[in-house]
Amino acid sequence: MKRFLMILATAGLLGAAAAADDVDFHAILAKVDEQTNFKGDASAKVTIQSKKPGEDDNIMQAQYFRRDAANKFMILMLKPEVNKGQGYLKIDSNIIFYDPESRKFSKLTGSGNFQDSNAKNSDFQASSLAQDYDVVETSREKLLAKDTWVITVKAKTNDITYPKRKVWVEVSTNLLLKSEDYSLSDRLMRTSLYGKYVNIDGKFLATRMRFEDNLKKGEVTDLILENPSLAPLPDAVFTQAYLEKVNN
Amino acid sequence: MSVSSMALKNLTRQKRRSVLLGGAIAFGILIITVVDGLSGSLITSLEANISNLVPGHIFVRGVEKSDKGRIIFAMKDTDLLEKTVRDLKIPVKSIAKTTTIEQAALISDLGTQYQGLTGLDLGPTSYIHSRIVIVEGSLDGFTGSNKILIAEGTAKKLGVKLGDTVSVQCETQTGQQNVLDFSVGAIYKDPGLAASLAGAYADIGIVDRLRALAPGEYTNFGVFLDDVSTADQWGTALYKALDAQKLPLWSRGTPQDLQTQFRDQGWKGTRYALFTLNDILSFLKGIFGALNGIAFGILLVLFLVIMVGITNTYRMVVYERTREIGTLRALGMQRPQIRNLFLFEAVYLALVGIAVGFVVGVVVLWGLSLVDLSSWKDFNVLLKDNKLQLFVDLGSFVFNLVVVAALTALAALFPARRAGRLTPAEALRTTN
Repeated sequence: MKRFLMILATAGLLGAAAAADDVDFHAILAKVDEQTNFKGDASAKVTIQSKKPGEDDNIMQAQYFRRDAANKFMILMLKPEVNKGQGYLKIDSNIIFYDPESRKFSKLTGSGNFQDSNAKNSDFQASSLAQDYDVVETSREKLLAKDTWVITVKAKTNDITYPKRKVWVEVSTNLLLKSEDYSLSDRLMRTSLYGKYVNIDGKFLATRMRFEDNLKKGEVTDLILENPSLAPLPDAVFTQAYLEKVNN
Repeated sequence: MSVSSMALKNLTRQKRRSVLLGGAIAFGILIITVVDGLSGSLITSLEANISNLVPGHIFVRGVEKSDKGRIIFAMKDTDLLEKTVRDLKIPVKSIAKTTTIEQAALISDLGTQYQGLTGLDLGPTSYIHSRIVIVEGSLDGFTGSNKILIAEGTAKKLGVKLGDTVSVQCETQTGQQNVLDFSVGAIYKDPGLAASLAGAYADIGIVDRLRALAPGEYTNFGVFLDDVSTADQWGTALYKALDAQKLPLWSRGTPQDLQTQFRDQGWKGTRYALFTLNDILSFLKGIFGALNGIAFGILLVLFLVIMVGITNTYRMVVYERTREIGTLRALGMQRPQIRNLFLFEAVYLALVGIAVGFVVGVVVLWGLSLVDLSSWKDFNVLLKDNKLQLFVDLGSFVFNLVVVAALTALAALFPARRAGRLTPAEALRTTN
């Protein structure tokens, strides 16, 4: 009986390995992108809560607009009062920041931190795992009782914020559940957790995210998205003029 | 007795009036001396502190634009630059090739400090030895190692001591996240600057690796001059010489102007930007210049008021001394001499007032220079050893002296001419 169980277990492992060999992981990454990127417009209210050791929690709110097909987003800060009216506009590969105090625009990078939180500016753009990364290693494991593919990817070009990532994709849904983000020197810099998705017309929007800084101990940022909508947005929303207009 | 001696004697006849008028002039000069001295002190300290921070007095940077529009600073082959510096016979103290990361996160178990990190040759001939005072550890063994040199304030904020590990996080030239571990190899005395401005230093090889530059590349070609005040003159000469050799150059400007050019203009390949220490400081110097201008404007308004007072006072003096003027005229003193008597009196009054105001102003500045301002942590870039430097601008003093003496003489001219025009008989008939 014991021998039979061992044979069964070995066969199971070999079968899983063989199954993994057959899996097209790049297609899985493409599926992750495809499921979470919207064909039309999307918007939601975002709450960003940052925790840093020895400091009071920093809670911010913003209105978040996306137009994935055109590679654009707009984030308009609502709270706190001191940041109200500040805006982030992404058009193609440029992220522009507007400061209503000085009435000036400045250019930001995707790898910059969003409002001194652990979220990056690039976390708000459309997912492009399949386009940005090559698969270098795969395995299969349980993550919080969920069956996941663990896919290690490396950036195709030298201008992607994280040169290496390890992503946990749920086998049954092809949704990203966790990501470990590494530096060029291969140091774990950040762990991202995607706790909850909502299904809107067949597309998935992550509504609970957590970004843990692995270098700065104790620094955590939670992102909560509420009131998601797929209502079409005016073209004017994705312009610099809009940022100036809402601040007048 | 000469007219000049009589004028001096007359000043002492009406002591109270002379003290009040001279005091008003002294007060104006005191204000302008203190304002000039303070702004001069602040700008001198600022210049000295910034020149200690930056790796050169004249800077050349190679600038590229990536396919995705990202600005990349990198240069490798600088033979042409070095040859041009030699050909122009620029009096150079040293040339520094450095890689600068403007904002790196220095991370320890206890905290994070955002500051500049400069990669350079830390060997025995490095310029850094003359710029900093090591208080713990030494720079021996820095070359080729992962040791980092940090300021006392940074060490305190991060809670680290010699040998402790500090992780440094930054973006690579192309925008990727990178982090490397460094070991604290030496700590230097805070140069009277905010810790975040003081900067950290490490071997250029490891900083290049952090910035993902190819071996041998660097971001900044810095020329240290024998005399920092010649930075603009030699910067202009170097720019013209490089331009004549068809090196692709950006228009001259401040670092902020250059950033605007990089962002707004489309170009391919590498173009070089040249700027000087004065370009870096131009914005701040402009503010101090404007403050001096405002102070001089206030001085002029103040002296217009004083001039009205002087004119009225001398009208009164002429009225009071009409019979005396008649006597002097009867004794043979000529009209110009009478006029000059009053003008000399006014100019002497101004000179005494200016001298007193200047001396009191210098004493005030000296007193201020003794005050310990170490609690002004956010402004200590404007201080030397946490104190205001005593700064007395003699050029400005001479200018103020000439202007104020001339204004005083001008104010006294009208009553003085009136006194000179009096006839002896008319003056002697006056009953006051």
